[in-house]
Amino acid sequence: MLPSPVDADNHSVDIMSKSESPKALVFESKSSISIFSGDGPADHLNNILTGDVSKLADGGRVDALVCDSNGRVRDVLSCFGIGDEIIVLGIYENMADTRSLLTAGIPWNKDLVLYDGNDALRHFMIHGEEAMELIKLLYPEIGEFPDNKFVSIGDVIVSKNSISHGRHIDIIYRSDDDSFMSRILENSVDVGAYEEWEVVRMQSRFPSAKEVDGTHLPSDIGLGELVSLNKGCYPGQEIHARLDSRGSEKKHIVTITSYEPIALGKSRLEGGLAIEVTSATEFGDRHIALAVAPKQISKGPVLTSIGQEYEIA
Amino acid sequence: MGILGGGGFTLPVVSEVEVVDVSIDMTDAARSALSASMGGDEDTHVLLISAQSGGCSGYMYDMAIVEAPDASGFQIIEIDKIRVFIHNKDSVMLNGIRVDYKDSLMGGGFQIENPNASKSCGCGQSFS
Repeated sequence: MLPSPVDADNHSVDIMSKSESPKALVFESKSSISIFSGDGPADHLNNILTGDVSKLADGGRVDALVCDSNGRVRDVLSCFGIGDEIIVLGIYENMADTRSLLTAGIPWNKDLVLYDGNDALRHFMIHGEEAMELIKLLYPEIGEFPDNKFVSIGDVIVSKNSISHGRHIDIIYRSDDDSFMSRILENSVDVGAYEEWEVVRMQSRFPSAKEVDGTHLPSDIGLGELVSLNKGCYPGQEIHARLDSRGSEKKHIVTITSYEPIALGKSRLEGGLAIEVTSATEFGDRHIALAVAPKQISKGPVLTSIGQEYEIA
Repeated sequence: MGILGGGGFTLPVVSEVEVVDVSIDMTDAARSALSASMGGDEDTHVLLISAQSGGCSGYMYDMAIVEAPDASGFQIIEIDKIRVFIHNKDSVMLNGIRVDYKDSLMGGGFQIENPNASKSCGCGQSFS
């Protein structure tokens, strides 16, 4: 069996933290950040997203998907209720399409404006088994908070991603406020580089724009929990409802490691099953990748049709 | 102050939607049905056609006979003395539509064929 790559949960490679820091890593995320302001932004978003945003209140958080009418995922959005406004985090590479979609369908008689918050706000992530412990190290005054809420500490908002079971925390703050970075420095917590985040997210099966490219169903890339089948119509709802009623989710996302480079795109395994490698990178003397694979592929070592050894986790 | 409050905190608006000159077509059946629905109120009322986010395909049509709103921001198309209002915001999505009317008990009523739609929902009210 191939050894495990860098793992924020198990802290097998100490790339971020010093001394006895919690088993979690800090990264800056280059996200798309938008702010919806005006006449009923929650109702408007609710017509578009796969999750129920209609009751998003001040201090609340809802994670949901933007899908096309064929049910394929186009973006993953996190919505934060701030008074009458909503901060919308999305995947940076998908920003133009998503913003176009969000603004094109605003009713003519609604005074609803979408603002670009990319320069004004910054987004950091804490990822790992002990993400909560690390945020408490940075903010000892913080208490427990549920997945669908955020806490504000001054101008910094802190909240948990709703599908990572407390292992992924988002921090959003104003670019003109240096209090978060001050706490990072005071506690000697390093901020990981993009290359390190790529390895960590592949280990955690955390999708990026490479998976969220408009070709995969939510369940294919581990985002099925963000689909509500009882909230009413949204683009892709018919497809998702049909898949659910037929119980026909055939694929899921897996992590692959190998000592040999892992090629992007479709490849066939010994035995005939095909996988689609969506992300791949090098780590030390090994390679790690994410792939959309048939559910019948079991964990463990497999050979590709050309004799390459993959370890599927 | 709050994350979105305070002085000196301004945000750029995401660009406005594209605007085109709208033309629409209306079948004879739709003209007759619309005229009957107007009930002689053509001087004070208009047909307002709009599109907004919603439905299974992304956008939903809305057609309503309403008292003439403030015309600013609207394009006005006159068909048989009936004024059709389409807002500039919806001009790209609704340019070139054909309004028809089907007189049947099931699935009848006004229907819109849209050359800009790549896909329509089974009910005909939603498109993408």
